[in-house]
Amino acid sequence: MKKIVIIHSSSIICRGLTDVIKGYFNVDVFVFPSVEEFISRKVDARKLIVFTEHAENIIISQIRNQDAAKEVVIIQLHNKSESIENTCFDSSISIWAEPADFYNIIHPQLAAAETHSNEIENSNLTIREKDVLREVSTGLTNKEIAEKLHISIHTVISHRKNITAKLGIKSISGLTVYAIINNIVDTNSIDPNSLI
Amino acid sequence: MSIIKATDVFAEVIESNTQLLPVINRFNISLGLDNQTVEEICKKVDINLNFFLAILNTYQNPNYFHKLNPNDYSILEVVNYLKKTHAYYINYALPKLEKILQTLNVSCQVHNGAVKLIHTFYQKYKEELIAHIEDEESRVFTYIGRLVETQKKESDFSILTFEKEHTNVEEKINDLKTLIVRHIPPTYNQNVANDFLIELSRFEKDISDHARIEDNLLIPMVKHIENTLSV
Repeated sequence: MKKIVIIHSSSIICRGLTDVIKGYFNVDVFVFPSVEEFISRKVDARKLIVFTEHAENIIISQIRNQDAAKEVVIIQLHNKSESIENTCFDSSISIWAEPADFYNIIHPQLAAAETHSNEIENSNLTIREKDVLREVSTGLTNKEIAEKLHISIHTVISHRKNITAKLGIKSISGLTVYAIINNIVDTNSIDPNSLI
Repeated sequence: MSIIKATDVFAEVIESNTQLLPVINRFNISLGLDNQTVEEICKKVDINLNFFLAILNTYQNPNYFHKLNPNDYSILEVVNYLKKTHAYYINYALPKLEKILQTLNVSCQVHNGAVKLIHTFYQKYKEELIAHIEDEESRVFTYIGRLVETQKKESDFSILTFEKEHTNVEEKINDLKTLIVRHIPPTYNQNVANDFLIELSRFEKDISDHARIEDNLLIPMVKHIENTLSV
């Protein structure tokens, strides 16, 4: 699942760029006036393409290291008339560029994510459901999940019911297989065979 | 489907429902049936007609047990049949599914981690099912054997301790199907995947009928015996 994020203090620019992107791509676009708001919202996606006006290394690394997305591509949105080089960005583009230039810069990123994973789009699990699924698949009990996520056991149970209804999977090991296939649980740190 | 009767030509029964083939093998009946009736076959192979009909009709019609009289046959016949079914699962049905899964794994053109996970999931399921079967044979069936032999109830064990354990095993077959049909990327040989799903569905039906025989026939019979005995 891929999402586009725009972090810019000008709402006119945000709205214009959103309009351009939506004209070309069927993709979710999220707009934030500041980096702080972006980080606190935790936009959940396998790949994030972020446009931002900010150029300070420390802020860029904050965006890059937010934990909800696996892969973050950052594109600088500057206001110079020509392109500029800055190594901490994956790419950069001017707000004066033509809509087609935006298409050219976004398209390869979306296409790359397409070919890199043969992942099937997550069956519309909400962010919270994914959180619960992640803990279920690492073997936590309802009580432990409730404590870890600061929610009531009742809420955990209701999330689990919804997850099972959406996915059609009831057993814990079946849910774990689903979570691994869809990268909901990080298998770099755990042996998937030990979970199932 | 219609109820199978003693006077039915057995070859016709089998022709109309091939799901019964492995069932009749468990009674040591082979094909080459000619025009013999169900009753004639039972005489020839020396099996209890009522019990044979009860089992066949269970596979044929999910609600059959309501019409049946448990006094027509002995509980040891039921246990013996269930053991044969277990052997069929362990020696034939499960290895066959595993073989198809291995073929499926090899058939992936590109590396498909999901198929490997499915394989792992299946192996864990298989281990669980075999453990369940072994537990049933070593605890429950021997308990029933003792009940029949000693004609005495046991204070520390009753059939109630063993009820309610079936759902888990069936749940996983369904999850296995759902994962393949709905969730994993289809970069495998489709014919092999189809074979697996068809075989799995057949197995699912067989094992759910088997569970029904245990839940609706075996357990009530044991309860009935327990109620007539004293410690």
